Amino acid sequence: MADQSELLQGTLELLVLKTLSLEPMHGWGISQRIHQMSREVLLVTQGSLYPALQRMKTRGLIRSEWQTTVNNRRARYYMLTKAGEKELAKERSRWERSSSAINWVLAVGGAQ
Amino acid sequence: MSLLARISEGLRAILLQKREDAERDEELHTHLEMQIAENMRRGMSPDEATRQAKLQFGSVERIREEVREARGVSRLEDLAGDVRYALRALRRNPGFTTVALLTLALGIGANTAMFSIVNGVVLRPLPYAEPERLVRLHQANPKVGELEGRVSYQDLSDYKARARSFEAMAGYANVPTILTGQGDPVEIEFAYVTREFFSLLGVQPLQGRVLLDEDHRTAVPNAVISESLWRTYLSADPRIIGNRILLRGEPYTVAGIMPVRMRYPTPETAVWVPHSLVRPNQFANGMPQRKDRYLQAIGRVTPGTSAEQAQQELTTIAQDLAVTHPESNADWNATTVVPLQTSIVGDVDKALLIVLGVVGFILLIGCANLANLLLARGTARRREIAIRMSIGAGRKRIVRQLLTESIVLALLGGILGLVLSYWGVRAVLALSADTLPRIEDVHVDARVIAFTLALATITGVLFGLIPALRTAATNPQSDLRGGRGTVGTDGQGVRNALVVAEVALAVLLVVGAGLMTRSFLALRNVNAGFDPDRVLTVAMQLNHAGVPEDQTAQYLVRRRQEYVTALRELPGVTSAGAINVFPLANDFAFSMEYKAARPDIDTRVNADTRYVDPGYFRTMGIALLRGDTMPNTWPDGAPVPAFLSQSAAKQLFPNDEPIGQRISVPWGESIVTGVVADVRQIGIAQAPEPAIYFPHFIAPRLLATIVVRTSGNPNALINPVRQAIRSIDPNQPIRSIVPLQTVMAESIAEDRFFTVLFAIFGGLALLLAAVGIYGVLAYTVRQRTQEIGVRIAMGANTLDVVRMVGGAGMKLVAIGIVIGTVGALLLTRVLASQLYGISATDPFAFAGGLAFLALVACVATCVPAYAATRVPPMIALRPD
Repeated sequence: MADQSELLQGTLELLVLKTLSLEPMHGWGISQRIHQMSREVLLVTQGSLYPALQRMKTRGLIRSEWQTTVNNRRARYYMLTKAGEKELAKERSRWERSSSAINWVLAVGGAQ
Repeated sequence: MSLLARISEGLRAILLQKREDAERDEELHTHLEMQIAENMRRGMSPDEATRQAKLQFGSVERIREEVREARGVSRLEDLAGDVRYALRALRRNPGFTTVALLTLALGIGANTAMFSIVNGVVLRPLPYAEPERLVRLHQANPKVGELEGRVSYQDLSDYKARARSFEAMAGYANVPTILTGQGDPVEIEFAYVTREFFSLLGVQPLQGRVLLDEDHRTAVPNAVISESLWRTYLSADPRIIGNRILLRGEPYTVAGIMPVRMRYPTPETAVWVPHSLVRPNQFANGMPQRKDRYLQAIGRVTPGTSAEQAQQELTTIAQDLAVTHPESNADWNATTVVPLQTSIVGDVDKALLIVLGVVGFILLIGCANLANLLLARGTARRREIAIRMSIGAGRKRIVRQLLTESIVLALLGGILGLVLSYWGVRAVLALSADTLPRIEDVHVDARVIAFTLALATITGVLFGLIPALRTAATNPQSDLRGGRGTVGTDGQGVRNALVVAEVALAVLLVVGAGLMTRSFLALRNVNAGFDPDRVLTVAMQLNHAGVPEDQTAQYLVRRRQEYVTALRELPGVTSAGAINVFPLANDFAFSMEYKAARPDIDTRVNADTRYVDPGYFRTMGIALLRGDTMPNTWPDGAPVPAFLSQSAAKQLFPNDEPIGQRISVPWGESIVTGVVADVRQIGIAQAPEPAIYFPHFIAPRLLATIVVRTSGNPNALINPVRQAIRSIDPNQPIRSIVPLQTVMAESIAEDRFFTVLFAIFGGLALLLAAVGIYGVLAYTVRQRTQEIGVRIAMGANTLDVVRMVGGAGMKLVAIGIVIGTVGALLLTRVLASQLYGISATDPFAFAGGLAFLALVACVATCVPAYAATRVPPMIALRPD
């Protein structure tokens, strides 16, 4: 386990929402997918993933049901709700705004 | 998500908890297996794949914990778990649990007991209808300093007719009488009451009816009796309504029975009769006049009116009456209105609240001890905590767990305390020797239980918080490694601060106890103006049943004389005398206004008025300062002789020789024939008021206290005295035969009660503080055993070790004493009103209290210090 960038809680949720917007997925799949999509930069530990999933479920952003995997294993699959889709859109635009702001700050700093 | 949805999710989660947990575990398990499969796919061996997966996965326990936290309902579940865990932890450590429970049960029990009493005496409303609108009203004569005087029937009628802030007013006069015709005659109290008395208080009769308007219009002797009279002396006769009872041989028809909760005007009042039955011959001019202020009065103010507003209005009316009726009301131009509850409870509420504060301090000291115990225990539990943390419990979680433990402990202690307080209340009430008002209202009610539980919870947080925070701040790694590590100075600062705090609190209480004791001793040594040694007092109401009314006066004079003469002739009696109302027993004392019968002196003096026989002053040892002894008879028509107390003489005749002067009295003029020493009639603590004594034959009184001075122990004469009185009149009830010393002791019983309470609680505080000092030092010695061993091995002698350990302890004690003394100087001020003859900063009380405390603290320090010298040097070399 290399040193991992700490994910801000809100960021993790955004990533989970994004992942689930592609297709319903179980917990391990979510962490794998985030790992791949971030070109192996981000590693979501189970310690933060499952509490985050529970929080999002409590907020009604996602729901879960038990399904069978391609390997014929029983797993809990998570999927976006309507509220989750809206949240994703909202969070994404907010992320873009703030990350462009951060990039801008960094750029200014770099120009020094 | 709406609140409702959240709650339903929460509820669902609780209800489906088992399934939820199982599914969660399955999910995590699946996750782990997928990771293992992935690792193997990347070419790891199965063992390596599992190991890596588990390593990456981290603590399942922690994930479970955090998921539950995220579900938002974990708190409730956690609480149940924490409580179970706490109970287990307490069971595992019976020694600690017993000490803690004992401390808590005592501390909380003492608080519950005192609160029950404060609740009953001060907080509970009076058992009458809308009691917050009931007031006591007095007419006042500021000029002579009489602020709580009585009113005349005429003035009361005028107040009632004119005051708009009152819904109702009633007057009453309670007097002693004798119940006859039911076996041995007994003394009881009865009250003349005016028309609105019962409706104003709003108490319904137990049986029959209250007094009605027609009872007040006619002079038919109807009476309402108390439940206790009915049960005690009338054998709870169910047919009593409409039947007769005899008071001094005169028949009264029982109209109704009042329930026990009707305790007005006094708890002893047994019979209420209409005011229309007041005897004309009890007043100088036949019927009562406006100047005859013999009624006490109560009122019900209109909703929203305060006692102050009511007083303002009544005073305006009083000023009017002073103008329209100058002959009787000139100086009675003010009123005093106080809530009825205040008037019944008096100023005892202040003393009770102080004691409640005192027991609160004791609980605080107990808390400091418990906090220290917990700190020490937290150190011992480090490994347990470290294990819990390393398997995933967060710091918050540990703090919550530890706090739950202390609150559970405190609540258990609170329940024990509630049980203990049952005896505590009984013990305190027994100690109070009937000096507290309203003790019949003292019992455990919902408020007491709520108080106890709230107090227990606060106590639990108070003693548990700091230890919990400190224990949770532990570093799992170093604690798991084990071993003694560095010298245990860890937490020493907190422990020391707690010792300083409890010493400071103990200083407050010990100094308070010292002040109360000094004050009580001063009170006992007061010169009351008479010599209380070897005097027996016989209190009674003269029985004149069967004597025709027109002969009653002469009969009473003769009877009293016969009793005095008979007692004087008993062997062992050196002199005897009589007075109508005895000093220090003032239920029926009364005062009047007097003035020199000279145009040039206009000073009016309100003087305590009593009727005595010639033997009274000599028997009591009251010094006759000027003039002659009192004569036994007096020629008809000549001005009646009067004896002035020294202060009355000074006020009435500031510049003249008082003997031979004349003063105005209701029956004309009196001539001053003697001046006697001032006597503290009202109370030992009260400065003597001006008093005037008249010979008993001029106004025969029903009340008589006969005093006899004996050559030996006055108790030896109790039986002979009783027999002598019985042999004259077998129907003569005797209220009490007690030595004068006992009368004096009873008059300061309330002071003794509070002094003893303070002494007990001061002692308890001292004991707890000593235990605290001992505990902390003993703990230090245990922690520094190795160091001490090294020192001894290096040649330190006994004195050095004692100095090292004891010095540290005494330093804490000294700081505590300094802080406590400053606090005491500021705080004992609230005691000032309870103190007699000394100031609230009395240096002797302070010095005595502090010396005693220092001595006890020294002992508590020396024991562990001495124990330290017994440390064998070899211990330094021994491993853990």
